[in-house]
Amino acid sequence: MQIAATPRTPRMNNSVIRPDKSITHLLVKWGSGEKAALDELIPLVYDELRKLAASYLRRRSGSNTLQATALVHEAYVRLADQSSISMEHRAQFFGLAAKIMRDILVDHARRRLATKRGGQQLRLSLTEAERFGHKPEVELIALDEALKMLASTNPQHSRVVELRFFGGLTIEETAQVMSLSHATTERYWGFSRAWLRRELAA
Amino acid sequence: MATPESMQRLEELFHEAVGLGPQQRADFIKRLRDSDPELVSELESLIAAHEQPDSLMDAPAYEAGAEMFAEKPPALVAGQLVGHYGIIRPLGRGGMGEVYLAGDTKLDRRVALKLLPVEFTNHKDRLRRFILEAKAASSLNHPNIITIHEIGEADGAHFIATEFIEGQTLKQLMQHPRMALPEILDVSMQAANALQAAHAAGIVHRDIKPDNIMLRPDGIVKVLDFGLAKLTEKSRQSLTTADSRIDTMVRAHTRPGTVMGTIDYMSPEQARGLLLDERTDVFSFGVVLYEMAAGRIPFAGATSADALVSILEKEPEPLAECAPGLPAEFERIVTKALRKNREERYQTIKDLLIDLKSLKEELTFAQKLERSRPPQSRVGSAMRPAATESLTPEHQAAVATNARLSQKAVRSKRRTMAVVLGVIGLAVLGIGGTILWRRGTSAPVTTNSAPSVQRTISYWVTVQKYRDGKPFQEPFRLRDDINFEKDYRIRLTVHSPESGRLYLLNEGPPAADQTPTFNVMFPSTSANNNSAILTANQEIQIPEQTWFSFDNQQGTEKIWLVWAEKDVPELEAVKGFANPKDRGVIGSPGLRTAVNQFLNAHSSAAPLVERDQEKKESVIRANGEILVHVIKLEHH
Repeated sequence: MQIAATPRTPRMNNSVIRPDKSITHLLVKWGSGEKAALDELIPLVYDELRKLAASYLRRRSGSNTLQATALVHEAYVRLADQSSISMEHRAQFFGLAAKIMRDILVDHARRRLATKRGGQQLRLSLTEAERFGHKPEVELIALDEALKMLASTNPQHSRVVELRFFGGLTIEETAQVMSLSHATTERYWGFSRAWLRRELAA
Repeated sequence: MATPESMQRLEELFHEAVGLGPQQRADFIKRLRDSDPELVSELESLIAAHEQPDSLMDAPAYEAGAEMFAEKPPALVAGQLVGHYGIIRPLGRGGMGEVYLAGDTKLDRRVALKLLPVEFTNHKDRLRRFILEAKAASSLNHPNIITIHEIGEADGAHFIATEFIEGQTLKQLMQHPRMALPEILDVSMQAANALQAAHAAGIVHRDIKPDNIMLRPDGIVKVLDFGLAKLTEKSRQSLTTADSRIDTMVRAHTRPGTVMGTIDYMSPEQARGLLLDERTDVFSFGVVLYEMAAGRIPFAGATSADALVSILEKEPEPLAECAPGLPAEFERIVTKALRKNREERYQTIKDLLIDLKSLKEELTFAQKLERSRPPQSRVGSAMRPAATESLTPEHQAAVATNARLSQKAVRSKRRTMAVVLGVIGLAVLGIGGTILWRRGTSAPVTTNSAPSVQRTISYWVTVQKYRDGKPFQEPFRLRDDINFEKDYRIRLTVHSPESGRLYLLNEGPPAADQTPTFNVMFPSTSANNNSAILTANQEIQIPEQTWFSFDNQQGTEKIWLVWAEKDVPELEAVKGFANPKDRGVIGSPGLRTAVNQFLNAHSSAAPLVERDQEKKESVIRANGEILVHVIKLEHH
């Protein structure tokens, strides 16, 4: 005997939710102004990008490594359902992915630096930092700081850098996400890059 | 304090200035200097930053920050037991799990132990099919197919124990200068032999790629991982459009949580998810042939999807263009192996092998013809005669591969050696001081009568001056004494006249347990493919890209140089720390102790050191299979 008047919402079983459906759906919801969709979206994209970044580095030594610029694209191809998604949502996704990528990298850099400083210090005479390249974590954190500074006077410029540098997007894609002309995007990028380089060199 | 307005003005000036030619720009800046001197210096610094080559933000952030995502440390550590196998050290990590060097405690032999990832083994049916196939391939007992000792399970983990092959994978070999045709033919004929035997037994490899082809130092080629691809195979789906096929493959190969395998060597039918037969191996083998000759793969793409499109639709660049000088017949063979339609391809690997053999015979014949000419008309032949007709194909190949190695070793050295006994001390002095090559006066060479083996290695030190954190002037080789200033950085270049294993460790101050700390300088993840193996006549810079700098502490630096004929287990284990995460510092106290004991045990017999004053190079010789030498740097 059925007591409830309305049938119960079917419970989501424990199997993996097909990501393509949920991502596309969430992007559409977010695009139509549902802010809560973003809360669901971020962890999905975050997780995917983190995995991709890690596997990108593992494969870097391989012969057909994934190009760095393709990372965000790859995440997009894997997460979103190509057939039912509009260009607008694609731009939206790229914008979000770039922001998240910035978070991932800067956060990672901070944690690495912290463990290095906090961990047992072995004083060895030859400085090893050079061997593994200039300290990328220091540079990334400094860049993140400088970018915040740039954002205080030039928020648009800062966003272009986020998309280009952290998201790995092309000028054209950046222009699309920002709804700017190609020429303006290029100008913003050129100036911001010079400005940031100088800030970091100082 | 910058305001949006001042930034906007700066940006306008910046774009105007960078758009001008040098003379006009100078004029522009001069005019501006009069009207707005403060802005000028800012503008100039911006232009300088703009024009700085190879600098920050040229590549996306995740490339610049790549080193941060260092690989996870291997799951198993030395000494741990898996069944009756004791882990010695990790050998590598592939798409199909981690591989370790391990000791078989029952049979007292060394094995390569591959741990299969759980996600591949939890499918019982697939696992069973894989085991059947792998065992079948191994039971063929073919000299070019790796022998599987055991496929087993311990603590829920599935593993494969195979014979341990010392040597390089074809992938590693191809990272050196392009392979010559005789060597390509040797390697490929041996690999094709293995495939032919497997195909005859109804076994398709499905994952032929350079990582799965190994070369032993004696020239024998071994094909690995038969049947392993079965574990990852997806259930076939009927697909309609090409696009959705590609999408499916991208998804299949980038399934979250699994290590992505390469698609570079996949056949078109494999990319389409069709039923496979031996002709898929013919295609993959063709890709490897192409790569050996051209130095790069035929079907590449920026993303996996692009690479798949390339495999399915694009024709590779003709070898005649990207690898000129190869016989047309070789190109014909490769092209026929790479036909997209498998009906047009070589139908069997045997047919391909026959063509490779004929080509080799033709070349051998041409060489003989060349040799039979009168000497004055002979042109220096690039290939060594293969006078090995009476040998088996495997041995012929081995001899020819060795020929390449010994050829390299022939290098005349006419030099005057100043012979110096004992340890050379390199004194690195502080500001305004001098670097001295000190003639050591330590213990004379003790010539042991027993070992007749002698090992030799040479090295020199290069100095790069630095100013304000940037390289300043050209680097130079360190000679007897120079004025040494602050911010000098150094690099070691090692030349190995013979093949062997090289390890370099910087000894630091003692830790709490009184054992010295060690910093791994070589091998490292940033050099020589993380391998200690140097081939005959290899020259390697340490560090490969950058320089070592000194801290401000004074004292004597000790750099241990170990040059051994075979792997030194204690030192192989230090590779686990030669990565950006550990920064080369040996973190395990047990390993530190083992390394310290090893070095002390082997440092009693001081090697012979010859100093070539002219070339600013040191040649070190020692009897026995292991040479241990200390490079001392005095830092005042």
